[in-house]
Amino acid sequence: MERFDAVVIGGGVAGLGSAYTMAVNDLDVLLIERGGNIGEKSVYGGRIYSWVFEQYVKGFDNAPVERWVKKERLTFLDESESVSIEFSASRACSFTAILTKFNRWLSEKVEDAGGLVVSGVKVEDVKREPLRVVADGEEIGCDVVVDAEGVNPIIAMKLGIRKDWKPSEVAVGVKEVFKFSESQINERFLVESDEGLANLFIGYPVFGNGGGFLYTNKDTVSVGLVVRVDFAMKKKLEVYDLVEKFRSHRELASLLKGGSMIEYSAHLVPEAGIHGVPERLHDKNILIVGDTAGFVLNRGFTIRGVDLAFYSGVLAGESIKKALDEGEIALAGEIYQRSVEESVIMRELERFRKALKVLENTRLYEDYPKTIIGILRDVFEIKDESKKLYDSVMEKTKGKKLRMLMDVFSAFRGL
Amino acid sequence: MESIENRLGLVSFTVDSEPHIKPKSEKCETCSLKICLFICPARLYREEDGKVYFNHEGCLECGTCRIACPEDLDWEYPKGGYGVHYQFG
Amino acid sequence: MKIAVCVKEIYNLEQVKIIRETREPILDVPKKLDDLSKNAIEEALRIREKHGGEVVAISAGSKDLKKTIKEALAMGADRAIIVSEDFQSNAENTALILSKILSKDSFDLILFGDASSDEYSAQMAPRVAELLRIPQITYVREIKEISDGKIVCIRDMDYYYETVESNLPCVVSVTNEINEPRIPALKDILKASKKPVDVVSLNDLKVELVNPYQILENLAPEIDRKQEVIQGDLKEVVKQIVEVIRREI
Repeated sequence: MERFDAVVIGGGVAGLGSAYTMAVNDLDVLLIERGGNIGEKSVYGGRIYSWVFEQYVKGFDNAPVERWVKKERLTFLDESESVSIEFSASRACSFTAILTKFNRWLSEKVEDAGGLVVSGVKVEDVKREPLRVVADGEEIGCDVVVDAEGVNPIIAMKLGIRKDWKPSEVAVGVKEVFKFSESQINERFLVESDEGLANLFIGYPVFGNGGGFLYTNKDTVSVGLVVRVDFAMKKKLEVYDLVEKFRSHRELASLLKGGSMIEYSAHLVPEAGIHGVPERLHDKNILIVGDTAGFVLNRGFTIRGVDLAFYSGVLAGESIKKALDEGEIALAGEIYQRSVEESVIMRELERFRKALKVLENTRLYEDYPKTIIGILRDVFEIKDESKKLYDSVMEKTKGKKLRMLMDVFSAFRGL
Repeated sequence: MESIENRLGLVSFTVDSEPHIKPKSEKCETCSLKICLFICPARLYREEDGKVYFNHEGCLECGTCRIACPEDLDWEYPKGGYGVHYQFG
Repeated sequence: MKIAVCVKEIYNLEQVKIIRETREPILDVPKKLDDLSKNAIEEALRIREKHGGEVVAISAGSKDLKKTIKEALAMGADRAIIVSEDFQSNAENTALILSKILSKDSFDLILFGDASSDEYSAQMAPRVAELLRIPQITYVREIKEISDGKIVCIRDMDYYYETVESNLPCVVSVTNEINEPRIPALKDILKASKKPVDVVSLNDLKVELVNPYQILENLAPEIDRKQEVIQGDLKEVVKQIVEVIRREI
């Protein structure tokens, strides 16, 4: 039987983060990825917060960054009109990237550091005492397993480390990628070649828990929608046609004109924040990281997952190293648990505990986009007699001013 | 408009001869919700004469049906090397 | 038997996307070992199983080759010698590089896939045989016998089979009908990571590269899909499909 210090299940960002950390710490690590090519099963919206990669990955300068996000735009949509708010930043803290390529780059880093990466092989099971990973009908022995299998926690459930998601705890995301020329993107979105735009959309066509996104890459644009599974179930949303509707909106149609669609994809997103994180992140020497552990932070106008996933991998790797150094590998899980609890991951998730409740509020997705658009239409549309802003606001918010005020207040506190 | 079939045509797959997801036909027949028919982003569940059929060939491996199905759906990832190959994930 | 197998890394063609409007391919896809190269490796492994000896995978390609060549090692090749750097890739240059590597050692048999799935020019085996000044047998669908410094092969000439005998050393190119390449198991993949890969540089080889032609354009063929959708109940649909087929033939 082959033996390794550690076996990592899954070649997404979290798995690669843990494998990389262990490899640079001279651990004998094997990462097993079920996809034929490393990283090809990962899907996300399109933006990565850079801090953790700048801090932990040697040679980050050569990462496959598409564009640094300098423009943040929030757009409210109703069936035919839109209102946008845009923030133009002088410095960027996040970049757009194609996650498939980013993963491939990370996996090269793992291999350069001496880790072994195998793709096209699916881990079927993990057996305990002694710890073994079953794949391809063979058993591989190891001191510790990092379970980075992703949002569908098939193995973690089997091991009893975490429960499955409820429909109210995950969202389904669909994405389309359009090919343009680099200069087309620069001109259309008014950005320089290395600068990009992140655009989130609230309202049409979901009008409920979820929304749209658009990210500019070097010469492609990623556009898609995220909708909570329970909401889609309740409203009987035809998920396969959602992005189609979204894309046919005037606002999107003009942004995507002339582009050539090159890929369609779908993935689940953990949306339960801290409530989706199990109390125990381990069973002694089996550790869960990334989406499997539920480390995604949804603040409505920003979603963070990739940086937290990678960082949880880093923490797992460091904890394993520490446990091995102390000669007590069974402590790896405990050390990891503590380091996650003390880390920015849990601090952030805790801080936005209330965000979830705010984002539950369906008025946020239906009433308010329509109200804002209605008011601005009144103000800007002049036929004969113009409407005063004051009158329009009073009319559009009739009977719901107090509720709106309270919603705004709780949004400020929660988000 | 791009139909879902056309959009799936843009994605590359290595298709296994065995499906990795199997609806339990006796339970599907009595299921009144049939959430799978509208919730699958690839529209791979179809109903014919009250029976639910799943076409695994265009599966995007998201797991939405696994979460949404009120019954205990027989759901697995495809075998190693099989299934969807995203390039712009 | 000391067997060299010359293999090629290609773009994973099934994953190359085409921009519909311009017909340009997007070539930022993972690379893989060509299927015909796998036939050649498989044949070498079978010869080794029978006659003993060593199987050496030899290749010249991009920086990705360091990863791609592991597929040959996982299948069972004992070691590899590769050039893994950016160079003007064309049949002339690759043949020059491969023959230079091959001439540094003495192989009894040099195997090739009869062509590669990407360019399909079927030049490599003949070019290398010429440069090495040794005999060549192309389009081999079966290796019948190897003994007493001789090899007997059956060539697939489309309309007839030709049985050919040659002295060793010899260059042999195989068709995809010769065998079914094995799929490496996890333990083979793990073993492959420990096998030696000798990365040689073009500088060390002292190959003088040539640049005889330029590719001006690389576009996908135009596909005119009829996109006829036939709907209805089964009986009706079958009738209509039969109708369409009848009309089109």
